[in-house]
Amino acid sequence: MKLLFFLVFPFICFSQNMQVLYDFDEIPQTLLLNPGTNYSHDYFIGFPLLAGISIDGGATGLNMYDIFADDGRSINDKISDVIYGMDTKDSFIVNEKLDIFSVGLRLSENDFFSFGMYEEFDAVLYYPSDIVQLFYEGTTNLNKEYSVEGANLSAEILGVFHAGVTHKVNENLTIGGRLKLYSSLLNAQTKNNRGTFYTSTGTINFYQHHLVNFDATIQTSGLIYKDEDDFEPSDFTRKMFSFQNPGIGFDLGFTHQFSEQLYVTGSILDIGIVKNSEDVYSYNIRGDYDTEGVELEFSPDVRQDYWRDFVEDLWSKLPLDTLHTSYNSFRPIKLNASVKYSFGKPYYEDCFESSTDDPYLNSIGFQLYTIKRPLVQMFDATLFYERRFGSMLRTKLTYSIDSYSYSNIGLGLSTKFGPVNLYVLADNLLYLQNIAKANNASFQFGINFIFDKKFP
Amino acid sequence: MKMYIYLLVLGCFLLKSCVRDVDFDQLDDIEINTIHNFSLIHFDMEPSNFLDDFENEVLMSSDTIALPIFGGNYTVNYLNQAELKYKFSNSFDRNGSLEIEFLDAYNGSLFTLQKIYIDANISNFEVTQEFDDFELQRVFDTERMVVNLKLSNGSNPLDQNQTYLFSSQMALLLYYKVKAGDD
Repeated sequence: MKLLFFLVFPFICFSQNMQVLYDFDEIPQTLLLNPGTNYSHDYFIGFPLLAGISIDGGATGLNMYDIFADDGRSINDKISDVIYGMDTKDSFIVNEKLDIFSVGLRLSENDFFSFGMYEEFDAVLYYPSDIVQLFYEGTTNLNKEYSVEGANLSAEILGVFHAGVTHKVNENLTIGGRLKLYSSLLNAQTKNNRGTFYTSTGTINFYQHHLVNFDATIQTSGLIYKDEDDFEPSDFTRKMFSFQNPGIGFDLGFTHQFSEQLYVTGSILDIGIVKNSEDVYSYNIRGDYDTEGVELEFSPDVRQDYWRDFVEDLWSKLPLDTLHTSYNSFRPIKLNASVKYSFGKPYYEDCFESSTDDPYLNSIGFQLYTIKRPLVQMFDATLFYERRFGSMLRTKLTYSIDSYSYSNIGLGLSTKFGPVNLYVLADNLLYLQNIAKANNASFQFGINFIFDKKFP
Repeated sequence: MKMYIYLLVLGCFLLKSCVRDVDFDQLDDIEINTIHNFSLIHFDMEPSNFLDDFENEVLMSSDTIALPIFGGNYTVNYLNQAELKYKFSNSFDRNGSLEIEFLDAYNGSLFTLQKIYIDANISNFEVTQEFDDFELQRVFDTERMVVNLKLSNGSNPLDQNQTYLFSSQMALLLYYKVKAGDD
């Protein structure tokens, strides 16, 4: 149990938004957030496996402090408060990305081509309020109905092979698109869960147990093992490159420059679908069932197998079907938009060697982000300030209001020493002094090699 | 240069994360107590159930039910107490008794609960039997449960046409105590 807590809590303390990385011009991985970014360098190659590592996660309605606060209250009372304080809209979300390789090259003055591959794990679990309460309370609350409607889960691990082109249409407009081929390693999702369980006073026995209007489905595909010992690490790479469960998707984006100092950007990411057809195990349970226990007959002549009869009766009225038919899963679509205003040229402009088309030292702006999750659309609004210190260091400070908090401060540092670009981005910094109080956090890190050999 | 030092200090300050005002040792204090009540078995016995084909009284009756519900990890790890709750109504003019025996997978006897005596002409007589430590330790191996029912001898012989009824309800109450430090 202790192990479970320490495994779960680090994840539920981590948001899903990459507000610090978005439109952080120098970092090549911004192209994955907006293929229409006006990327200013000529070539980049990501350090294999280290070009982009990001971990995001969050939990609404819960943080570590709610449980482990050293406030003199019994932890059991605090657990009770959390169990009854959260509802089925509260979620636990984890997103992890690992850039396996990434390359970008300028094809012409107006065209930039980038391609690569990354692995992504994305999971959202909605708090199954009634099920947790049933576990917590037992069956002593007669006539209290516990619904399975709140039990919603979506999880996937994918390999994403992508290639995109950024095209500068004119001085004011840059557009881009990215084609993505997905190879799903694992997918699990629930569908249309409904039904209630309750216990009432019985008529021929103490209690009558009811399963009413039950209809629950979970679809799984890929690396799902009945016995965890069957898992071989090589299965991971084999599955990733096999495209047994393939998918296709695309990203679109643009940058529109109103003036030298003011521009807007926008992107829509992961308009995609995955066809899960290999290693599919989907389970559906549907029906109604009532029982007051087993009636003994004390028949001396016929030896009854009551338990078998009970189980057969249960499964006949509440059949569990195992399906192997393929199904489609949809990627969570994300939308980004921003307005950015740059100002403050350096005092000694003649000595300043700008590595970008943007000679201004400062920028302020506003970003919006939304992602479609199974139950709710999640939003994030961010104010940001960017500051460039020479050609070697860029910083970005963000303040975000999101589904988790109204006080999310993020910071990004991107350095470029020669061709080496190193970046570290994180948010929820106010809580770094006390992570326990954070509902969410995200962290990104990466190393790239960036070269500039201006096209003639 | 000043700027770089400033940023370095700022970065170190921000990246020096810690966890304050929390006490993870409270994990050891987590204790969740739940009670799960299940209706288990019930039966109605008429005079014909105590007569053979030749109308001879057979006052001892027995039945067995498979009960493979105690072997799960959750039950083995967290079951703290178990009870059987009964309700009897006996309109026979004879006393009765009921005895429950738990068997393992090889039909070996694990333990037998104390016999319950039910008076004649009684209705809604409720009894609760709590498993003692010995029984609780052995219950996890339970695969079957034998119910032995006995009517005492009476002065008036039993007849199929009599309207006597011996009915019983039985529920299982499982008390779980989940502690974080248990495993």
